[in-house]
Amino acid sequence: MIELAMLLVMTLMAWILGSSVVSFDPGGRDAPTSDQQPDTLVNHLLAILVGLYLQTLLTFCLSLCGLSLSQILAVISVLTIPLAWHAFVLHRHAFGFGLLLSYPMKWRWKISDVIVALFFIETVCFCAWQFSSMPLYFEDPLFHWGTRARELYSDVNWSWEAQSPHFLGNTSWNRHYPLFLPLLRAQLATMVGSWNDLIPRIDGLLFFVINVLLIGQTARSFSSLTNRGLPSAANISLMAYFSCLILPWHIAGGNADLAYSSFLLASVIAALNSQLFLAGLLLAGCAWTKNDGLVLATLSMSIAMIAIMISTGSSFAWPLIQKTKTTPNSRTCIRCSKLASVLLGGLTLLPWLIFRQRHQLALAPDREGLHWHFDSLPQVISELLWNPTHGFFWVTLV
Amino acid sequence: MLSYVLLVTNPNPAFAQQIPLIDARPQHIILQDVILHIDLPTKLTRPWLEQPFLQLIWIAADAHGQPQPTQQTQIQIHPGQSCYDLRSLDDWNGGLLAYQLFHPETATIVQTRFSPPTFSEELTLGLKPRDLNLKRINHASEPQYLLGLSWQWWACLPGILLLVTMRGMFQKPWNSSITASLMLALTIWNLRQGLDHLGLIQQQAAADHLMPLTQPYHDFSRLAETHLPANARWSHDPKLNLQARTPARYHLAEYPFSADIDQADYWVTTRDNPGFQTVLQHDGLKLQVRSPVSKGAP
Repeated sequence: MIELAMLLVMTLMAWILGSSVVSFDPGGRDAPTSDQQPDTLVNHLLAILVGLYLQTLLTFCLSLCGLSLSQILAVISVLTIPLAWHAFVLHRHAFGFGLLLSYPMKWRWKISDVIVALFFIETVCFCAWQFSSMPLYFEDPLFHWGTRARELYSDVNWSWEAQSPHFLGNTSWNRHYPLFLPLLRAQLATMVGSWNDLIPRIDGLLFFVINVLLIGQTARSFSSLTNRGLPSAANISLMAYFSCLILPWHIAGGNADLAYSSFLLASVIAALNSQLFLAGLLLAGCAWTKNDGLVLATLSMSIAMIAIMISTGSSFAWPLIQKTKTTPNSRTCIRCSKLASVLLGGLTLLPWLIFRQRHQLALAPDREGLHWHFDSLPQVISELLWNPTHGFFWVTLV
Repeated sequence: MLSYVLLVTNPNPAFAQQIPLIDARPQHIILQDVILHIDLPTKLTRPWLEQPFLQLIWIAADAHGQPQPTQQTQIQIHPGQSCYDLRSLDDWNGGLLAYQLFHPETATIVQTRFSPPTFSEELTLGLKPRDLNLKRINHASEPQYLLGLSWQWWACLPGILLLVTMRGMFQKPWNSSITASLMLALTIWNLRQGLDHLGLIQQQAAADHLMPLTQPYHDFSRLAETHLPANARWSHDPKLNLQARTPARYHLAEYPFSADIDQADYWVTTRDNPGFQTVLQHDGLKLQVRSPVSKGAP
């Protein structure tokens, strides 16, 4: 299981990279109140996702400069060494076997906890069965996310030059799709040293576990239905999540939707925790994973954030930047508005956005003419509300 | 792959006559009121992921009054007698005028009928496993599924609440009843799903594999990967179907691909070609190498 081991190493690197970003707040807001205080575990999970996003984005930028995947991996490894010290100092209380063992040992197990744990194990076992007895079989993972990753890894049938017939993969008609998963999987294969059918699928387990922890922990912190000997909100949320009939297929299928849902979920949670720069960063992660994120996730989140703004009665957008003093004698510092914080996070995707604009990449292979105009608005709204792949709109709004 | 076509037209008899259907039976059915029953003979079924699809096509008049397919969707058909809910297609304006289920390989017309659903059929539809096929894993969302459940399902909810938490309702706060009921309902739902998974694992143990139609393409591509020498330039027959082409492109991704067959040393095809030698053959697919004297592909 070297693939799993390397995935864990990659996750650790991502956590180190992300940890230094998670605490950054260009809004310079006052300390959050106790009900807004983000959970430590949630913060670690957000750090992993941010790290994966930055790691692949850096790989993309350095690839454009002509570096190979192994050279880029070396650069990232060197980068993580000083950051690792910072991350370990920042979170030193959270290390050791205590962290791993304390949760299940200290937990006062209720029947509903046991049921949730059993279904979690059932899902993981069923995925393991799929890994061991089925090939990479769904069409999109084969065509978009698997083949392109393998071409990137081997550097055969792949070119960053627009004139090449192999521009962004030999099957040139699918060049429009973003590169988060192909780059992640190509990096994983580089670390493993060879390619096999597990590489384009095993990341599903990582995103599944992240989703489970995010959902459970967030439902727990936002709910008052705990410690009464009853199924908690976390248990019910997790059981509802496990009841998604196609979830085990997504985990082991190699599609991009699970990674996408992780970024979207994390972005919503960051916004709820008033970590708006992080919310923007993770929203950019959505767009970096699937093109749906570029239009539909952005729209969903905009609506959700306006709802948050109205409900809290706080100023959201204007002024974008202002000079403030926390006390009369302190230095003047610059603070971003909430909107500016989100935008600042989102703008980290600028290299990819410029690249896709320059090479006129479309939102979907069969919709090259799709662009913004007034007639497209009803189409976007219809897609947002009713298209089966974009059911997340309702989830985001709720 | 097997497929069936259900043509749905607007309720205009003159218009429907323009649509070529063999043995089409005229009907006046509003899709939003009925469910579809299909009795699929066992001999026509395929295992699991490769079950045939019912292709639903909504046909409307174009600017010149000619019938044109405007919307379509797929549902997976299960062996034996089964019912299918089409009521969620509420944006398919109009009714069903003529329909036919036709099995193209055996020229069999499959028995179908429409009827308003009974209560037990409503429950069956609600517990039915989700459609899953090789193409569209990401085309099914839970909110749509839940919103698409009939009023009978929603009507059951207060009953379930009452039954499950009768004791709790008198002794604990109201939210205890709700959480306990939700937990029980979700546990039943997940148990059902777990049983489906067990069933699949048993099927896998009983049969060689679950995908007799597409598995050979994967097996061939894996074998081809071991046969190709390093840096061998390859291509594939432009007429090769997508189901064979996609695994080949994935498994041979580390070998230089040439869109121009004349530039390739090897190619994947289903045909015999003069000037080429077959180096690998598996279940109808061939890996051929160019003979030294041959010039260009046929």
